[in-house]
Amino acid sequence: MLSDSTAVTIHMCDDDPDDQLLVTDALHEAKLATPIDFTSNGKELLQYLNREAPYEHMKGKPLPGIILLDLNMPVMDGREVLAKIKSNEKLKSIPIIVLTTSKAEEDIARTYDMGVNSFIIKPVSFENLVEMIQSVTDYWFSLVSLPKQ
Amino acid sequence: MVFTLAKEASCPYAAIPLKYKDIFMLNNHFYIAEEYRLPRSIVIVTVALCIIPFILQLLGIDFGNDAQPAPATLTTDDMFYHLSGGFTHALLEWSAFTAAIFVVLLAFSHYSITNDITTPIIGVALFCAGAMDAFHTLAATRLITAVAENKDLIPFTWALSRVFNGLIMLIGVGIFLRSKQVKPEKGLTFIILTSLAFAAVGYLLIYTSATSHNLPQTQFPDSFIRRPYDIVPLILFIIAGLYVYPLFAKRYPSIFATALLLSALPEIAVEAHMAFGSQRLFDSDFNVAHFLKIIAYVIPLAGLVMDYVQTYKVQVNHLHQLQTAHDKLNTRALEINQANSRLAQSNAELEKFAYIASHDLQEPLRKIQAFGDRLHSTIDKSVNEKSLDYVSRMQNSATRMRSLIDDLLKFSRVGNQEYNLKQVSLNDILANVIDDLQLSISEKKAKISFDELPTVCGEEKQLYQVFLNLFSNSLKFSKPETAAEIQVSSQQISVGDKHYWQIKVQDNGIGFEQEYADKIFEVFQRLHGRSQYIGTGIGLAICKKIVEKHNGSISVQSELGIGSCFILLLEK
Repeated sequence: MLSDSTAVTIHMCDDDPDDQLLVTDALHEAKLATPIDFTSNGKELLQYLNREAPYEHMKGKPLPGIILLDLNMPVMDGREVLAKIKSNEKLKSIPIIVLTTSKAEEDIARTYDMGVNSFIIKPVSFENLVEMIQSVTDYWFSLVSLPKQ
Repeated sequence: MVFTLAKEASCPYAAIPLKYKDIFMLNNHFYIAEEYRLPRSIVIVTVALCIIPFILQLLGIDFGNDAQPAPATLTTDDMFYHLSGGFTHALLEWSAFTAAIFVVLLAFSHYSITNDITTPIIGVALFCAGAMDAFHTLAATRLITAVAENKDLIPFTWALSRVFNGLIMLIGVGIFLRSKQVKPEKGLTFIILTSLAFAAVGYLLIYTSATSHNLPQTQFPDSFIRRPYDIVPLILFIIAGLYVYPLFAKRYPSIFATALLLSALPEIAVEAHMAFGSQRLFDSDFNVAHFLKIIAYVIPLAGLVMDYVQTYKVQVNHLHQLQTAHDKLNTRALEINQANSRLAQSNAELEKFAYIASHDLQEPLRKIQAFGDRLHSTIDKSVNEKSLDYVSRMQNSATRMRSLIDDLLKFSRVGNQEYNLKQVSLNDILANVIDDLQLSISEKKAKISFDELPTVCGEEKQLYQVFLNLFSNSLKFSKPETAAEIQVSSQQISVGDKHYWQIKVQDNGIGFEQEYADKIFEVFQRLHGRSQYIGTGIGLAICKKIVEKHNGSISVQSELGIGSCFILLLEK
């Protein structure tokens, strides 16, 4: 059990602003107060996690509790950044949940090989999305113990 | 080019009856088709050679050898001079005989190519005649001795060989004027038998001449007809030239036959010179006659050579035509191959396109559905009922679109996947299908029965899909008040030299009119509205695509209100 669950943030890396909106809505719908912030591609995600420009203002703040990662993104896609994060000493312990439209068996297998913690296919209906967010937060924040950041 | 080989010419003909009017219908009788004519030069030269010596003799030129008695003392040179007649005679005769040898050799090789038996038979006849001439020459040169005296032997053997020549040519050619045709397969036997017969007769004559003590006189220098025995061959050759040869040339047209006809001319000239001209051995007419005899052999030889060349040219031409046709076919095959690979490429691109399109369409559709949900939940029914209704309808359409895209994706995936064809058990596949449809089966209280089903050559997952779709349909389209029954049976059938398993899936559902039997296999084609039965109309299209990828076929027999029977053909 986490002592201070509200301090833990969810970070979502997805190039689609609609999906960002939907997830935000879903959190509200599920009546969760967990803070969430966003980046739009792998490059931005790394900059964010490493507290580099343009994210220097985040220095000092703890890293996100979980990362929701989309696979198909421009500049640097999810697969590439996943590999980079999982090979970074400081970052590799952050649980990553791939959240993508791709049903490809190949993607599923490969990302698990690279050490992703979960692979979820983006739900179709909003209702399902809300359920998913509920389940994820229940599992990762209530049930599971997260490493200290 | 219409060239009929002599073989083709000897197709069954009705017997041409010996009618006098044939002889007098000169135009028709002596007409020879263009491809069988001899070159004009040869004809002219032959005629000239027959006539010119006669004219030259009238002008006083003497072709004869000296007939002076030998002086008392002879040098070797003198002896040779005195024997010049004999030598000339031997040379002329032997040339004729050599020509005859060439004729028969060429005739047999011609036969080996064309299987035309006329040439070897006539060739053998000519050769036998030539052999007789050789015998006569050997007697004349005293290389062989006979019982009778030489002064009688030589002219007698000449007369004999001429009569034999005339007869054997008439017989040899006459054989082919009978109505009965000799079958080509029996050809060789016939040739051998006839040759043996000719040779036997020839030998008999030679033997008789050699062993007879008294030979009749054949030279009568002081009569008008100097050699009366030469009248017989004269008449024989006239008959040959006017009647038998032309008839033969009509029945079995070839350059050789034409040449044979032409050879009658020098033969007649030979006889004329001998019968009416030659008074003694080695005189002018004697030598001219012997020279013309060579011509009489050479012309058929030339005809045969030209026939040979002609045949060869035709073969070469045919070969070229075949080669051209073959090349054209090759080009065509290449074009077809290229067209095929373009088609295959185009198909692959279409399938890829269908896949990508469906896949990419899913994303925005998901958004429509998601925001549709948001919209639905944010509109208050009591305030905005109409808007809510619109949104609901919109959401229904989006759901429908999703099923269509999902199905289209499924359909296009059928083509994309790799097929590992191996022997699969239909029993096992059906067991899996029934397992997976258990819920529906118990709902509809359905009864599924099947006999022992065979193993077929196929891809397991795909065939599973086929039967899943078929069974789902049967369950879906079952009669409302009746328990659904599905029966599966199998049977071996052969189409041509390919063996198939025919699998029948029979149900007792609502059925449909047979006229729609083809339509229902089309993509998204349905016979019922969405409100009646769910579905997008892709199930059977997928079945058909899978079965066709298995090199099989699927069809249906149905009756409205009775049920449907789906018939699949799968390779063994």
